[in-house]
This record gives sequence, C-alpha cells and structure tokens, in this order.
Amino acid sequence: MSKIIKVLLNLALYSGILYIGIIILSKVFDIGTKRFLVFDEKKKKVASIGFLIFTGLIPVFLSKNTYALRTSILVLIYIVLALSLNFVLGFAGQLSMGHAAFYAVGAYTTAILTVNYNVPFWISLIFSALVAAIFGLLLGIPTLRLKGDYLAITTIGFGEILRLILINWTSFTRGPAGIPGIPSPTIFGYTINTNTGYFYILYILALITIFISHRLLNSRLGRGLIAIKDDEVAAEAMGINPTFLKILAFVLGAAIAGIVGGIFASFIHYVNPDNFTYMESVVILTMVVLGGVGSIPGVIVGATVLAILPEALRGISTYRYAIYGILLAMMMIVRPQGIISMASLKGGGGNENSRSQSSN
Amino acid sequence: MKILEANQVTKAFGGLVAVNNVDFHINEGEIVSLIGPNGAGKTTFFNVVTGIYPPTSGEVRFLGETIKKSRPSEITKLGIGRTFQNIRLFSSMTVLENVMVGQYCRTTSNLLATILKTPKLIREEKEVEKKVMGILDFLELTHLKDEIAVSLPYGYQRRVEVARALATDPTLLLLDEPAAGMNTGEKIEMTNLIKKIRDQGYTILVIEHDMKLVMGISDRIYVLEYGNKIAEGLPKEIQNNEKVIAAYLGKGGNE
Repeated sequence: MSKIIKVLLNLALYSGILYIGIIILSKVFDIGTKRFLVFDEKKKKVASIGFLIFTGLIPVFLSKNTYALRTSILVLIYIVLALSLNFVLGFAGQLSMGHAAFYAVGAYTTAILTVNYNVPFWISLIFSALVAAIFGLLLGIPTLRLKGDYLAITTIGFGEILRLILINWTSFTRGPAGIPGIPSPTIFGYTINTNTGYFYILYILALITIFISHRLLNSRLGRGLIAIKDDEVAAEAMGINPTFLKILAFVLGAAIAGIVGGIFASFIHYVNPDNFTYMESVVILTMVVLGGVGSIPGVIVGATVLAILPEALRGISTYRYAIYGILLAMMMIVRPQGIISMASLKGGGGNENSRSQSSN
Repeated sequence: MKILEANQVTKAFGGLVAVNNVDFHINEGEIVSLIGPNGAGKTTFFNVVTGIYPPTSGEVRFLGETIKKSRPSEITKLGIGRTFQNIRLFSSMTVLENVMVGQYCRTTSNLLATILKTPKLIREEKEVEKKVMGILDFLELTHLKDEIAVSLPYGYQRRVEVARALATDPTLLLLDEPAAGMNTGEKIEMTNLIKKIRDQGYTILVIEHDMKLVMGISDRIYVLEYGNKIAEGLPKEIQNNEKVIAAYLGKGGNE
C-alpha cells in the first residue's frame, strides 16, 4: 500500500514539475517567436546562422562527455524521425501511428545489405530509403482512403505486423537475436566510427530534412497538403487530388524515416525487433504533437525535449511512459497547439489581434 | 454559346426521384439562379452538374462535352469553380494563402522542383502571387491578405471563398447560397459583387433562398419543386408565376 502511495506521490511531483516546465517553455518560445518574427531578413539570417554554428559545435563542447554526445546523437535521430512523421501528420493531417515501422524497414535494409551482402554503407542507405518508400507506397495506397481513427488503427496494425515478421522470419532477419556487426560508414577511405562522425552525418541529414520541410511547406504542394488537413472537401473543390498528395507525403516521410533507420543501425552496430515497438511510434507521435503539429521549429523542440527527458529522468526511468502520458494529457489541457504552434509562426498567436483589427 | 447544358436529367435514389427530367442551360456571361423550397432537389441537381452524382438518365454537357462521374478535383480542372453553403475556408491559412490554393490546379511544379527550387518553380510562384493579388484587389480584400481567413467577419469570409473559387480560373462559377446568414448590408454588397464578377466575363450559377437577391441579379431563373422544373424565365415572369407563388406561399383557398 505504501508503495502505491509513494508511486502516486512521485507521479504527482513530476506532474507538477512538468506543468511548470511546459508553462515556462511555452512562454519562452512565445516571446522568442514574437521577437524573431519582427526581425528583418538580415537579422533573421544572422540569428539562424548563429544557431547553426552553435549547434554544429556541440561535439566540440561535449568532446569530453561521451554520454552527453551520444544523447545528442539520439536527439538528432529523433528530430529527423519526428520531422519525417510531420510530413504525414503535420502537413497532410493524417494520423499515422506506425511510423516506427518505416524506421525499422530502413534499419533492417541497411543491416541485411551491409552484413549479409557486403554492400557499402552509403549504397545500402539509398536502398533503405527506397525500400521504406515502397513500403510507404504499398501501405499508403489502400489505407489513405481511411480517415482519422481508422487510419490510426490500420497503421498500428501495419507496425505490429512488421515487427512480428522481423521476429518470426528467422532465416532472413535472425529473429529476436537481431543482426549484430553492422559496419561503420567510410568516406574517402576514412572509417567514421566516432560519435562525432555520427553526429555530423545526422546533423547534415537533419538539416536536409528541415530544408525539405521548409521548401515543401512554402510551395504549391505544401499549400495543397495543408488544405487537405484543414478541409478535404474544400481542397478537392480547389482541384486538389487528396489521395495523390497524401500518398506523396506518406512516401516522403517513410523514405526519410528509412534513411535515419539505416544510420541508426550503423550507429549502434546492431538491430533487433525490440528497437521498433509500437511504443517507438507513440514516442515519435508524441514529439510532433508536443512540439506543435505542422510547425517545423516546434517539432524540433518537441523531439529535443522528449529525447532528453528520459535521460534527465534516469532515476525514475520506470515511470517514463507514465510521465509521457501525463505530459501529453497536460499539454492537451494547457497548450493544445503545441510548444511552438503553426499559428504563432504566422504571427497569429491566439488570433485575437487579427480579429480586433478586421472588425474595425 | 451554351456554357452548361442539362438534357432531360433525372436523378433517382432508389425509388426517390430527386431530380425529374430537367432541361436546363446557361449561356455565356449570364447569371442564372436556381431556386426552390427546401427539398426541391437543388442540391442534388448541383451535385449532378459537378459530377459528384452521375445522372440516372439524361446528360450534362459543359462547354459541349459530356460530364461523367468524376472526382470534384477534375471538375474544377475543367473550369467549374464553386463556393460552399457553409463556409469552408482553410482554417490555418491567411487570406492570401487560401486564395493561392485556388491556383493549385493551374500549376504543375512537382516535388523535385519544389525541393530544388528550380527557376520554373520560382516563375510559377511569382505568377500565382501576381494573379492572386489581382483577384484580391478586384474583390477589395488586399488589406486583409495577411489575416487568418477564418478570423474575419462573416461577410469577408464569403468574399474570400469567392476569391478562392475565382483563383481556380473557372469558366462557370457556382455559388451555393452566397447570401446565407448575411445581414441586409452584407447582402447588398454580395449582390453588387456578383454583378461585378459577371462583368469580368464569368458565367455564374447561383443557388439561393433569398428572393430579393435572386430577383436583383438574375438574368434568368429556374424554379424546382419536388424534383420537377415548375418554371423558368426572367425574374419578372417568375415573380408573377402562379405555380411559383403557390410553391413558396402555399395554394390559395379558392383554387
């Protein structure tokens, strides 16, 4: 009995901390976004480049601290994963809950190609993207006709089926034993086997993903996707073919998740089905929702917070998922639009300003 | 020239005949209204015209070509733009972005061009923006272009919807109850707006309940009741048509 009380007390304590944390973070980012939005182009550029240099130098700051550097690599992996899910959930508005499956497909493709067939890492990485994209296409064509809950259930099913295949097809995937001995990548004869090396590979991948997200969001196709998210009927009346665009977003998200899966496999040199459970999909989804669905900086912040959180909460790692749950529930109450919402990036914030102006 | 033509169109859902043997046409540059009491089959007719339902018998021709059952997106590409009875603006977008979506079906840049930002894409984006700004200017929405569209007052939201439909480069513009829920002042503005759009060379089909608006703008009027066309003609003729009066006000006691 006393144990239960202790657990509950702990949960209450952490809920309180999280609540305050969310409020402070939200305030900080609200002010930050407002400040950033009024910058002129030149200042924006300087700020962005400064941020890039700072984050790019993280391995230098952390060169003595291997644990922190490995954590920052995990953060990058999750940033890319969350951004890849953001194509589907944030842009097209489709609730996909099996995103870890594409991550798994990418990881296993690289693992099998490099270990069994001695394919060079970089080529296997391309295959990771391709195979994951094909899976995305095959899953997307039948399921993206479904909406909301039904799509969520089908994608959960897909993720589970894939994991069970990985466990049971022992002749191909070595089942629960997993595939060890995945080699490190080489560039111009140099083998990249240091944490710093992996950090920069992932850093570049993250930058490319952000770049693609940004370009897509501010384009014809991006507007089409957001239109589908906002109102599918109206989007169709504007001449948009929703099925095509949804599949496009799905395939793109799957391909990027596949690439990061391949890099992950090489980074930890070992893959097994336990890395790609349903919980993994939920974690990625949580990152997107927490950060702000559809908002690129929001998703990055969400992924960073949720990737560091379990490390910061090491002492109570058994509570990890309980805290995830509480965090999500609390976010939905306190700040449903996420830490940095799409609306705040447009300067709309709570919409009060625009409303009062237009009624004059 | 006939823009839209329906020949003996019938649409039945099982035993229920929602539209019965209706002949209908719109000439180029006309404003035609389709009116009728609730349940008269106006919406069904609208959906047949836009290809959502295939007609049970008869055919619909747009610019001389038969419309088959097809996705609404393809109908839009053919050149039929529409607005919705319940405003359906894209809630997370500004006015400018909402209207830019309308140009989607007239542009072609693909994913690769988007990521690489090819010169063709840049040119296309510039053209889209120029065109959209022109439309906003025409509908006097320019000063609101950076506002979130759904935060605007109702009358403006309707106007943004019209702008968005115009951005699809339609030959025929379908307005589904454009004055629904508007106050008198907004209705007058809407009337002037529809006329102004017609003067730009668009052909317009209006479905509407508000008699004042319909009588004020229509070149011709069609009246449906229980799926049958009970009258067609000039606003004056419709106003004095006994069948129409009976349908709207009920039959007099001495008939």
